[in-house]
Amino acid sequence: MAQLLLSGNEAIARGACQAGVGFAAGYPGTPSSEILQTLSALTQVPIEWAPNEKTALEAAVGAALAGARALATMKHVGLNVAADPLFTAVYTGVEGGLVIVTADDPGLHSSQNEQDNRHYAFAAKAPMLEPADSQEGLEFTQRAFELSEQFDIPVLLRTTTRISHSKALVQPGPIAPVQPGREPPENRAKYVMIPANARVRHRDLLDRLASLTEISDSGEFNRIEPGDASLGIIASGVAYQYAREAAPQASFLKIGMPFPFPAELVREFAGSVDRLVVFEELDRVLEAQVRALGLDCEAKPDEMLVGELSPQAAAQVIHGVRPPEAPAPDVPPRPPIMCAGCPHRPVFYILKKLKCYVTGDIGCYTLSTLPPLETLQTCLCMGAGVGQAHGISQVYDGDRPIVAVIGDSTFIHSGITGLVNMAYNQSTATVVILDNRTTAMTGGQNHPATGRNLRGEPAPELDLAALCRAVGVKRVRVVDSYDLTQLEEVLWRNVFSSMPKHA
Amino acid sequence: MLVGVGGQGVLTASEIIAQACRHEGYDVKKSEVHGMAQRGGSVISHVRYAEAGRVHAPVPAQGQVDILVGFELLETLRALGWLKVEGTAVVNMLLVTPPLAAGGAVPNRDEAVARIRQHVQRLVSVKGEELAHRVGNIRTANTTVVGATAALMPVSVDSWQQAVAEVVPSGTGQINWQAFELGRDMTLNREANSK
Ligand SMILES: Cc1ncc(C[n+]2csc(CCOP(=O)(O)OP(=O)(O)O)c2C)c(N)n1
Repeated sequence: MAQLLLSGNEAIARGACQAGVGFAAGYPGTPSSEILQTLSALTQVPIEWAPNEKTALEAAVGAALAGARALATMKHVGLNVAADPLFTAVYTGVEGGLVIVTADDPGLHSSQNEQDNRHYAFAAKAPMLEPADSQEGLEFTQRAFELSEQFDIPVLLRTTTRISHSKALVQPGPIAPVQPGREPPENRAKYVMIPANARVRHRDLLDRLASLTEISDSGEFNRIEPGDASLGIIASGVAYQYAREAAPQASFLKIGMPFPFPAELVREFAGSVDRLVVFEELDRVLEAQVRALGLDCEAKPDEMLVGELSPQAAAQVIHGVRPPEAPAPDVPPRPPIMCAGCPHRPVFYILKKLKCYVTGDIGCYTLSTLPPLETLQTCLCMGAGVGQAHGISQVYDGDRPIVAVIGDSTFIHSGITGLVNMAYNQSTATVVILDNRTTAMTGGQNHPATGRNLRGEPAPELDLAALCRAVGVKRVRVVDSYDLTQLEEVLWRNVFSSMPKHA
Repeated sequence: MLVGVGGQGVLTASEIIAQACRHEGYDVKKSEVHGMAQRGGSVISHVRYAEAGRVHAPVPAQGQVDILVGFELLETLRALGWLKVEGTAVVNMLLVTPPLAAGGAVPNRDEAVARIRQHVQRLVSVKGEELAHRVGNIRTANTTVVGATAALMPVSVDSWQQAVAEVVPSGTGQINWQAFELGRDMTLNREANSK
C-alpha cells in the first residue's frame, strides 16, 4: 500500500479502522475534532457527536460493554468533563477495547488553559500512550484497542496540537472487519460499582497495572535508542522530535507510554549515560518520576512550563545555547474577529448599550470581549457563564442587569443544568442563548439542535425554547438578532424586569 | 514557511507543496496552526522535506527557514525573523489591513515592501491576484504563489502536477494548473534575467 500524508488526527482515525472500531463518539474541540470527521468517511459504523464529552465517553463505555471496539475523542478540557466515568471505568474494565483520545493544546492555540493531561493517567490509573508522529498515531491507536482488551482496561491516547495537526508520511495497513456488538454480560460484581464490588475491583486494577508495567518496561512503546553515551535524553511526543534535531548523536529513551511509568527502563538508561536530560512539554511529569527513583537529571527552566517547546528550546536545554532574542516585529496585530454578518454582533451591541454585566462562555461569541465590543466579562469553562450569572445575582443587588450569554452548542453541552438551577433557585439573572445553529468555533459541527447528525443526515431537532420552558423558566422569548429594533425591545423588557427593584 | 491571513488559501497551498514533496520521494512533515483561521486571523504553516529519516520536527527553528512564502505583506513582515540570513522570500504583493488597526500604525504597501527588502537578500515578488485574474479565477491567487515557490524547489513538474490535481477542489484542476504555471514561469524568467 502506498504511503499517505496524514495528520495525527487522520492517522488516529485510520488506526481505529485498522482495529475494526465499531462505535465512536466525541464532542468537538480543537485539536481533536477531525478524528471523528475523518472516521465517518472511512467506516459506516455509528460515529456520533454527543452533547458533551461525558455522554460521549459513557456511550463508548456502553458500546465496549456490548463487545464492540469503541473510541471516544475530546480535547484536553473535555476530559475534565468526562473524568467522572473515566475514574471508575478503569475499575470495571471492558469487554470490547475502549480507547479515549485526549488532545492537549500547549501554547493555547485555541483553548482556555494548557493543562497537561498526562496527570490524568496517573490520577485515574489509566494506561496512556503518547504518539510522537502520525505513524505512531496510527500504530498506537491500533495497539491501544488490543491492550485495552488484553488488560481489561480503558486506554488513554494523548496527543498535542503539534501531533494532531502536523502531517507526516504514514504506512497504512488493511482495514479490519468490524467486530460486531453482542449481548452485554450479566456480571454485576464487575460492572456495578457499589463499594463492596469496587473495593475488589480497585485491587484488581492494581494487578492489571502491574502487568501493564511489564509492557511499559518492554521496549515496545518506551524504547532506548542507543547513541553517544555521554548524553542521554528522555523525551516524549513532539518534544522528542525537537530533541532529535538538536542532538542527533545522543542516546534517547523515547517515552511512548508514560503510564504505567517504565521505572526499570529508566534506571537502565540512566545507568548507561554520563549526562541525563529530561525534555518534555508542559508540566514536569516525566522529570518528577525520574527524580522519584532517586535519579539525578537535568531539565528545562521554569519559563518553559508555559507554552510550546520548539527546536530552539531543545538546543537551549541540551546545549545551553540561548537563541538570540528576536526583536518583536513592529507590525500591527491581527486578532481574530467575529465574521462579517455574524448574528452574535447585534446582541452584544445592545447588551453594551443597556450596560448589562455580561458573564460568558466559550465559543465565537467570546470574541465580544475584545475591541470594539468589549462586553463579555467572564469566560471560565463551558457552561460556567450561566452559573456565574446566577451566583452574582444572588449576592449583588445593584442597578446593572446580570446577563449570561451562551452558544447553542455550549448550552446543550453544559448550560442546561445551570438553567435548571436558575429556575429552581429563582434566579433574577437573564440567560441569552446565542443560537446560530452550529458549533461555529470549532469548525461548524452539527449538534442536537441543528437537525443533522455528524454525517450531515437529517436527525431529530431539539427545541431549545420548549426545553427552557420545560425546566421551569417562566419567560422565554425567541427573537431574530438581525432585527435590531425587536432585539433591543425584547432585551430591554426582560433583562431588567426580573430584578427585585424592577419587578 | 507559509504565512497569510485566514481565507487566503494558505493551508491549501502548503498541502500542495507537501504532497508534491511526497510524490518526489522525499520524507515530508507539515505543520499548521488553524485555530483562528476562519475568523480572519494570521495563518502559519511549515513544510519540511529531505531524504528519508532526516525530518524529525514538524516545525523548524527560528532563523532556519530556507523559503518564506508570504501571501500578505504584514504577515510576511511578522515572520521575517524565521528566515535564514541567506534565505529567499516569495512575497505576494497584497496588503490586508487588520480590521481594528489604528490608521497610523499600519504601514502602506510601499513601506511594507521596503521593510521586507531591507531584511531579505533574495526577494521574489508575485502579483498573485493579478495573475489569478489573468487565468480567470481570483481564487487561484494562492496557486500562483505556489507556482512561484515551485521554481525554487528541487521537485519535478510531474510531482507538482499530481499534487495540484489531488489537492484543489474537483473541477478546478486545469485552471489551477494554469495559475501554477503563470507563477512559476514568472519566477523562472526573473531568475534568468537576473543572471
Ligand atoms: C469541555 C470543552 N469541550 C470543548 C471545547 C471546545 N469548544 C469551545 S467553544 C465550543 C462550542 C461553540 O459552539 P457554540 O456554543 O454553539 O457557539 P458558536 O461558536 O457557534 O458561537 C467548543 C466545542 C471546550 N472549550 N471545552
